[in-house]
Amino acid sequence: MSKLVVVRRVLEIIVTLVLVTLVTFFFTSKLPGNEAAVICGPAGPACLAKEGALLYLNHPFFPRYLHWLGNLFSGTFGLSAAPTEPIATLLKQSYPITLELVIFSQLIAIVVAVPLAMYSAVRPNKVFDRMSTAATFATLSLPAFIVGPLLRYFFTVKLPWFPGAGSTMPSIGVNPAQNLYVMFLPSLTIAVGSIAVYQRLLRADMIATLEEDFIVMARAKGLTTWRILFRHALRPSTFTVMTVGGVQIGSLIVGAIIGEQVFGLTGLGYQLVLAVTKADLPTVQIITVIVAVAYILMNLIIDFLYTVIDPRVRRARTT
Amino acid sequence: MSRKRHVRDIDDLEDRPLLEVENLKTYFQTGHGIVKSVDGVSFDLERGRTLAIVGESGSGKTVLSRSVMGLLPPQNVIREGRVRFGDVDLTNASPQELRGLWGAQISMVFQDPVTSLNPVVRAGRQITESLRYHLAMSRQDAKETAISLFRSVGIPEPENRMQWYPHQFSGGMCQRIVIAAAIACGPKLLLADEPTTGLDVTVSAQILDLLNRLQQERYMSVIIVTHDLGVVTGRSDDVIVMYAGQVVERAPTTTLFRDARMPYTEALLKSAPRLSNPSHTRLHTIPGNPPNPANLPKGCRFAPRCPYVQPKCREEEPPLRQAEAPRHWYACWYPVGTPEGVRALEENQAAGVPAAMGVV
Amino acid sequence: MPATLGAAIFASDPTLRDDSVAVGRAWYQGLGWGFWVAVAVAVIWVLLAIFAGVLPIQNPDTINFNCLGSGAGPSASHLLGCDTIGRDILSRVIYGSRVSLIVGFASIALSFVVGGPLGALAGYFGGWFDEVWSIVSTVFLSFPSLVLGLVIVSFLGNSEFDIVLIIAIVAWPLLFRVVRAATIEYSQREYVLAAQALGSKRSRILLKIILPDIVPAAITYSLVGVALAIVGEGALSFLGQSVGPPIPTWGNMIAAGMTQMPQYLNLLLAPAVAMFSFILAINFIGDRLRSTLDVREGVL
Repeated sequence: MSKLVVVRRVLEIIVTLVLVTLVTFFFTSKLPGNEAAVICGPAGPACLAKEGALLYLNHPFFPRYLHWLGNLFSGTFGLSAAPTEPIATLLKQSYPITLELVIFSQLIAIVVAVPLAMYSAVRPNKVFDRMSTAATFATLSLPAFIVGPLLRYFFTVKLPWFPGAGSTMPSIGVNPAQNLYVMFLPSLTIAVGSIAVYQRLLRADMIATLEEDFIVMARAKGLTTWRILFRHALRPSTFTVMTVGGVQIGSLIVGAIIGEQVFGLTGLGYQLVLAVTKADLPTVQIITVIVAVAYILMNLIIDFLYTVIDPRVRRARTT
Repeated sequence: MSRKRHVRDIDDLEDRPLLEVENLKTYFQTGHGIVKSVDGVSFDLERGRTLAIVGESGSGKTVLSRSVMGLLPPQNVIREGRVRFGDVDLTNASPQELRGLWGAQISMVFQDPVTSLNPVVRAGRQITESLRYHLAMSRQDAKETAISLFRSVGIPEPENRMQWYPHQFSGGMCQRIVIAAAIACGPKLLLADEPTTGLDVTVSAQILDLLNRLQQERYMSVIIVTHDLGVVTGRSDDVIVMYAGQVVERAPTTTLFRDARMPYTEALLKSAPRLSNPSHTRLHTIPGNPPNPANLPKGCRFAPRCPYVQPKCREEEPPLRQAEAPRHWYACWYPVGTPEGVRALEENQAAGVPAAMGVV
Repeated sequence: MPATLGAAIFASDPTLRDDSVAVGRAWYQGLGWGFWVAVAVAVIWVLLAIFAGVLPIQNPDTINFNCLGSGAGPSASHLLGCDTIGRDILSRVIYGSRVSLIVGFASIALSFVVGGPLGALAGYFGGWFDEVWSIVSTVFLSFPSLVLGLVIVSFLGNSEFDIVLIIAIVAWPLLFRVVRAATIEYSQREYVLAAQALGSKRSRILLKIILPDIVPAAITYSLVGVALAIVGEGALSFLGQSVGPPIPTWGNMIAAGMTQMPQYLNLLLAPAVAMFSFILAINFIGDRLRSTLDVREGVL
C-alpha cells in the first residue's frame, strides 16, 4: 500500500471511530431512566445530585459526550448500574470468553470448511459436491438461535457428551482441556454459519483457480496433487473469503451473543443483553463501543492480511 | 535428511528417435457430440532437433501437444494411438510415472506467460520447487541453480529478481521465467505451445532465439506449436502443417518453404506478409472458416475452402503420400506444383469457383 | 491420495473446455422445479400469516386446561401439541409468522425506500453527497447488526413498529451500498457514456437508462434482505428484546422452547422448522433469481 492510501485509511478509521462513539452515546443517552437514579437506587437526593454532577447529567449533549469520551479514553469506564460494580472488572471477566469463542469457532470452521471446499472443487458437480453444497446452502438459512438450542438439546441432553449450559468453566490457562470441552458446543454454534460461508466462497474460487494456466503449468512440472492443491491453488482461492471476512466478523459477534445466551457463558454478549434488559445504561454504552471498535479493528486486520496474501495489491490497492 | 528424487530416468532406444507418435487420436465427448481435435497424427522427433507444428487456431495443435505429453484431463477424453518417449510408452504410463517425467524429462512452455506463473508465489520458488521435488536438491543448491538459470535465460540481477512476484515482471520477462522453470531439471524434450503469441515482435524474436540457444546448449528436442510460419523459418528442422486435427503436410523446413504441395500450406505461406512485396500489397486470406471439429466434412477436410477442389476431394479423404523430396509427405489429390494441381486450379478459375479467384 | 483424483482435478482445462452452452431459453426455464417449490412455501406462509384470523385454529392465547402439563405432545385436537401453559403450538406458530413476516417485509421496504434512492444518487453524482452518505453508512455498518439492534431497542422500545424501524435502521446502509455500487458500475458502461456524449440530461440518464438496470439487482438483494431481517427479528425476539409476550413470535417461542427442552422438543422444533422453512425458501428464491438474472454477487 502506498503511503497515501495508508494515511487515508487511518483517517477514515479515526473519523469512523469518533462517529461510532457519538452514535452510541446518542442512542444510549436518551434511554428512559436516569443513570444517576439507577446507580443511587433508593438513596436520597444528595446521592442523585452528586452522581448527576459526576456524570455531567445537567449539561447539554455535547459537553456530556465529550466528558464521557474523555473517560472512555482514560480507561475510566465507571460503574455499572444496579448492582454497582466497576465496568472494568466486568469487562475483564467477560471479554476473554467472547474472544476465545470467536477464535475457537473460526478454527473449527476452517478445519471443516477447507477440506470440504477442496474436495468439492476437485470434483465439481459430482455427488459429494452437490451434497455438501446443498447442505451448506440450507445451513445458511439456519440462524445461530436455532442451531444453538438444537446442539444443546442433542449433545447435552439427548446424548450427554458435553457439559450442559451454565457449566463452570476454568480459564483456558488453568485447565485447557476442560475449558475447550465446555467451549466446544458454543463455538460450534457460531462455526456452523461460518463453515457454510467459507465452504461456498472457497469452493467457487477454487474451481476458478483450478482452471488457471498456472495450475496446468504446475501439473506440467510433475508436482503431486497435494502440492498443487495446497501450495498453488489454496492461497489464490482465498481472496473472496478474505474480502468477505470483514462482513463475516459481524455475524461472528452476533453468533457469540446468541451462543453465550444459549449456553450460559458470561461473555461480552451475555453482559450486553443483561445490561439492555436492566436498562443499565453505562454498561450498554461501554460494551457497545468496545465491540464496535474491536469490529472496526478486526476489519482493518483483515484488510492487512489481504495484502499479505495477494502480493499484487501490496502496491496497487486502494480502499 | 536425504530427500528422494522424483525422476523417471529414460533410456534412449538405439537407432530410434527420442519421440515417436503413432496414429494419435484425441477426441472430446461434449454435449454436441464427439469433437475430433486430433485425428490420427503420426510423427517422430530425433534428439536435439526442432519440430514446428503449424496450423490455424482450432486445428488441434495445442491439444496435440498436450496429448503427446499426457496432460489432458481423463474425463470425457478419448485418447488412442501410441506415444513412445525413449523407452517409456506415454500412453500407458501410470500417473506416478508421468509425474516423474513431467518437468524432469518433458517440459512445457505455455502460451500466456503472465497467467502461467502463480501470482502469489515468488519467481524464484517457481523454479526451485521442481528442482527440490524432482532432483531432491537442498534449499541452497536449488537457489544457486535457479540463479544461474535466471542468468542463462537473460534475467538481469537474478539474485534480486528471485524475490519478485510475477506481476512485477514484463510479459517477456515472465516468459523467460517460464522457460527457466521448464528447463530447470534438464528435460530431454521441450514443448513450446505458442510461446510468443502474447508478446511484442521484438521480444518474441528474443524468446525464440533464447529457445534456440538453450536447445543447442542442452541438446534438447523441441516442439514449437505456432500459427505463425514466420516463427518457424530458420529455427526448426522440420515442420508439420495441421488442419482440422490432421497432418496435411510434413517436411523439412526448407523443403516446405520451397516446395509446398498441400494447397492449405500454400495458402498459409501466401498469407504471411513479405518484405519483397511492394507496399500496399493486399495480404492473401484463406476464405471461409476451419470446419467444426464436431461435424467434419466428408472427404478432404480442406475441400470447402480449397482453390484446387475437385469432386474427388469431396468424396475421398486423401492419405499422406510421399513426395519426391526425402522426408516430405503431403495429403492431397491435386497437389500444388504438379500437372494435376495446375489443371484443377485452372478449371476452377474458369468455372468461377470463389475460392480459386484470389489465387494468382 | 488416489492417482485418479489427482488427474481429475484438472477436468476443466480452460483451453479445452466446451464453451458453447445452451442458449435461447426463456429466463424462467433455468429456475428449475426447486424454485417453484420455494415460491409455494413462501406463498403459503404469507397466506397463513394474512388469514391466521379466519383459519380454523385456536386463538394463540387460549389456555387449554385439557392439555395443560399433560406432556404437551401432539394429539388430534392439538396437532403440534401445547406449550407448558396449555396454548396450542400450531396456532402460535401460525400467528407467530405474523410478526416475522411483517417485520421482515416492512423493514426492508422501508430501508429500500431510504437506501435505494440515496445509493443511486450518491453513486451517480458522487461528490460531497456521496462522501457524506458513505461515511454515514460506514458508521452504521461499524456496529455488528445485533449490537446496534439491541442498543436501539433500548432507545426506541419494542412495539412492532419500533422493531420495523430498528431493523430498517440496521439494514438501510446495506441497500445503500448495494445500489450505490451497482449505479457506479452501470454508469461506466458504454451505452451510458454514449448517452452522455449525445448530450442527454444527467437526471434523464439516471432515471431512464441506469435505473432499469439496477432495479432487478436491488429487488433480488432486498429479497435476501427480508430473510436477514427475519433472522434479525428472530434474534432480538430470542433474546427477549422484540415484541413482548404474550404475542407469539418464532424467536420468543424458540427461546421458550429451549428452556423447556428436555421434556418437550416440539416446543423448540415447531417454531424452528417454521422459521427455517420460510428463510430457506426466501434464500432459495433469491439465489435462483440472482444466478438467472446474472446479478453479481458480493457487490458489497
